Amino acid sequence: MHLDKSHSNNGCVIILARPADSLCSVLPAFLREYRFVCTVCAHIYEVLIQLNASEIIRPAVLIVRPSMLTAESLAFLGRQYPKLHIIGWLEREERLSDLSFGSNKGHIIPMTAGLKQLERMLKTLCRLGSVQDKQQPNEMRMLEHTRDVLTEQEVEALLGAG
Amino acid sequence: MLIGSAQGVFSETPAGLRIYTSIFEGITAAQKDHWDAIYAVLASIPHPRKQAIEALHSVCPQARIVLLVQMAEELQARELLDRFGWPSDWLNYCICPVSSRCLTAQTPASDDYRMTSDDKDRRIRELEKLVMQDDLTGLKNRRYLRHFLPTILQKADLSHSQITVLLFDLDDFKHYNDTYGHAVGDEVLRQTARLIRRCCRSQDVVARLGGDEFAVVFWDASDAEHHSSRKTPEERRKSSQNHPREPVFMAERMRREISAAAFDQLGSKGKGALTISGGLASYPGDGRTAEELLEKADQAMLEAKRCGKNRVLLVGQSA
Repeated sequence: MHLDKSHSNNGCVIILARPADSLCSVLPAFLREYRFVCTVCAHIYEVLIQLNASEIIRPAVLIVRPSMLTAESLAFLGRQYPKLHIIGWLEREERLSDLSFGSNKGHIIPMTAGLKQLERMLKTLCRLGSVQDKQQPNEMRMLEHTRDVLTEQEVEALLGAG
Repeated sequence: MLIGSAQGVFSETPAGLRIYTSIFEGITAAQKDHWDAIYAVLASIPHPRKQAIEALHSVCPQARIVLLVQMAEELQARELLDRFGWPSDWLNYCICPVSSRCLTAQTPASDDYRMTSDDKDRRIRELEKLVMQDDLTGLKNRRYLRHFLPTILQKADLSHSQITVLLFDLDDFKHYNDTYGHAVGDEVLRQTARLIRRCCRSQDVVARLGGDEFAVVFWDASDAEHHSSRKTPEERRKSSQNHPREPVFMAERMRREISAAAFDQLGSKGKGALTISGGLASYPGDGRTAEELLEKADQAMLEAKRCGKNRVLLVGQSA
């Protein structure tokens, strides 16, 4: 399902989460502001088609419920789309380490289901255009390896005021 | 293009076939290039398979998609294809091993052999059917059973599940054949085949081995496919002390149905005229190989005959 279509966009955000209502209610408005296309996919194959189709649309962010990915699909995404930012949209009690992604876990930026936190991160990524380069938020990536989920305070500290 | 591993798929090594090991790579390649045919090894497509095939078709709508399946996966393939309204122009399946020449079929047609690729595929499917199907009853034949049984036993070994084989024949069929003629005998066999099929579950394999001899393989598709539902060796040992109840129940139901059926071809005496005698053998309790199971089931069937016919006996059971 395409929420917004624009040919002159800066990038795209793909959502693979069920239910996606809460994400859809918040994201399109501010993504439009940054001229990002927002797309909701029902399964991993749709994500793939979307990524292949938008290859020329430079940066891409995938917001995904990790349980909707397999280790194989995650490995493929990491290998095929090295510039893709994969945000693992976790429930409060959920932990990335509970899922069997093995060494591919490193491809996912874990985040608990807090829209405010996600919004802030995306805004920063959009503003910086940094989605083209995964390595930009260095501190953030270092934290990912030591812990599953960033706290609200850590995101604020790392990204600054939204 | 081929999606999945070529190992065990082809009867000879294919040439000129692009191989993509995962469905994700396959979809990506299909989206980028123009393909006339996509061959996908069913086992290489993770669930949900329907979405994977839909995705392939949506990015490459002109391509024919052929699922390459092992014999034991045929039921799953048929169920999957049925969800796409099979038969369809763009989706089909082939049972492995297949000839790589059949897949690539890139060589130009010679003057005296102008068959389109579709014609060839159809002919191949017809031939496969002839090879594996009993043309009188439409059931699977002995050849199919010879291939299927070892395959499904291997899977049962991995998943620690049980397989039960029923062998049976019609009591005194020769008498009816001689009295009423072969045409009537054939019709009796066809009606018997319909009755057996009706008594079985969709996954059970029913075969006519020849003459009036039939075999049924009772197996659990979910057990064989999903190792998560596997029984421990201990559980299997315990349950194999008794034969699985479901096949015993189905075999008995089959016997009752046939003995109560009206065979109109046999005239006024047709109702209740025909009976069956059969033997049931289970893996792993009664045998670990196809040959052992068939032999044990055959012995039980002979015992049923000796005990007065019109009965189905388990291995080692006497009336």
